[in-house]
Amino acid sequence: MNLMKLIKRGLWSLIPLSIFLATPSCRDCDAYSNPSSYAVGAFYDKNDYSTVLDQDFEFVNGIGGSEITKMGNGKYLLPLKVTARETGFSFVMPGMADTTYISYETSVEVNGPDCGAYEQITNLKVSPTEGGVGQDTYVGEFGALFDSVTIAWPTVIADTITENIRFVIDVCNSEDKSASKNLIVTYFDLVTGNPREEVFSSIFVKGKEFEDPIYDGSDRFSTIYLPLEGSDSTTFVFRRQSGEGVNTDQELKVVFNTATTISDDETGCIFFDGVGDVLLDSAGTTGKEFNYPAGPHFKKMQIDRTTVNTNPNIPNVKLFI
Amino acid sequence: MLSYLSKILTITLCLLGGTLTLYAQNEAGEVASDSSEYAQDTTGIIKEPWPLNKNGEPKGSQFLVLSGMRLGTDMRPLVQSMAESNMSAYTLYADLMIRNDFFITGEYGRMDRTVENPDADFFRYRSNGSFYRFGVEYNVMKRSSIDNALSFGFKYANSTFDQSADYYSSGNGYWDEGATLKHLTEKNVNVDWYEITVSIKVVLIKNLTADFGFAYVIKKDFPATAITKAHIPGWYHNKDDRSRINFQYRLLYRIPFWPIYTEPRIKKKQ
Repeated sequence: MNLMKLIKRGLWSLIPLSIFLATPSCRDCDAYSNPSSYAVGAFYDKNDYSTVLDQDFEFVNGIGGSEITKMGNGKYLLPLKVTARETGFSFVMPGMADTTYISYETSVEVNGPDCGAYEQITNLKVSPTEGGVGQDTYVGEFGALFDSVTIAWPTVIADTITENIRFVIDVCNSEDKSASKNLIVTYFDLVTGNPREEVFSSIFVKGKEFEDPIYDGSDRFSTIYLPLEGSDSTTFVFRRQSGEGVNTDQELKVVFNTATTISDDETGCIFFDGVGDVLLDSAGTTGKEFNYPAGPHFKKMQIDRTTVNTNPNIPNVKLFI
Repeated sequence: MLSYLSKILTITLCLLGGTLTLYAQNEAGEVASDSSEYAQDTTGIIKEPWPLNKNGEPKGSQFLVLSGMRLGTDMRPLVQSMAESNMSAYTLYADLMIRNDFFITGEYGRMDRTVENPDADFFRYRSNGSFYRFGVEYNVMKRSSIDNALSFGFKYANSTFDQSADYYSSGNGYWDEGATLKHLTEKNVNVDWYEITVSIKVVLIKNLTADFGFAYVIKKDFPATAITKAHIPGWYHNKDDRSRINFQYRLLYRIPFWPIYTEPRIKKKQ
């Protein structure tokens, strides 16, 4: 073999190596290349996962931190502590609140000289309790605001679209059920503190004494349901009539709002238009307890539950006789 | 992916071009009465008869005729080590030629590579460790040439390395955590993978062989690590893919043992 052919052969065989080495191996900086320590949380109706639940919270914050505002897309950026491995968040609705603890790990994402290396938060888990075992999904207790909390994407990346955590709320179907508007009132014996049965000639909403009363004197009850009227207050009148036809009345005035989040006692589903913040009103003063030493029927009135619901064992108002 | 395809296409064209040129040179050599070129390709071939031992039987066992051994190194890490100031890598390769059919291969290598951005202090990654791979190749040109070969193979590879990174931690302003530079080291990261190879072996000069081709590497066990395994000895640049195509270019020197026969071995005398 002459020298020229040897050189040619050698050069030909070197071409593949030179091409391979000359071809740059590049990687564009992508979402993973941008560091973020904010998980994206979104809320969904258990009965409709198609759209993000656009329900305003009264307050959302990292436990110990300031308020977190909702983004334009209805989701929340939840700031994770980089110096810890768990961060708790509090979600407050008018009348209800829930907390979730997000646990995580960190890894170092190495991209290259152009995109650098960044700390990335991965392996997100959720727990309803601080220091609890992190899970991909946990189911809330009966009556809790969150029916379940699920990890949708376990790695935190720098965008506001990809949801990391889905908070699922079992919103009550308004076609099947509506929030209770019946105030639960129970009579108690002032001395013994036990429930007692009573009968009144009539119980009616103030100003409607000439219409059908809510109750008349036919039966004795210890617990009665009084339908609230109006949007912020209702006054009920408890009347006894003496043998001479003299009426003795005592009023019970309650104030409330009708935009409270409550969990239905029977099903556990959530109403956003429930009645809550129930308080007593006595001569323009609101409070949870008032004493009436000279009261014709009741010596003391007391608020026991501030949200109106269906369980008769938890009255809203206790009336002590 | 696109860069892979372009690499494969380009290299395939070059390989085809190179191979065709070599054959064209051989053919031209015959016609142009280049006797030295002709002799180069055929002197090693012993067609008939097989050498016999003193009992009148063919030498060597039926199958395990150790025809030779090749020793060499992969040029790619050496060239890269010369080109990059922060890289030091080499491999040692050996194979046993079972007749001209099978090549039992083994390879050991080391790599120490640091990747950094010289203009910024937020990135510095170092991978330092070793690897080995072994397997078998089958030569589909076993009867047409004793010097050149086209082989397909299957191999297993294992790499153990340490890696460290200087990286940027963004912190979180909500919690009054500022951005910081951090450092993390991981020791004894172990990964392994399989390789399906195709390679062309071309004799440059007597017994000195260029061995170049592709290895389709498939991850077997890549455990999760705190640092992205960006550079792995033996696997080289690692992306998120489950598999990739590696290229190798080895220079080998063959130490002949038994003669290589391209004709079928005659049967034992009865």
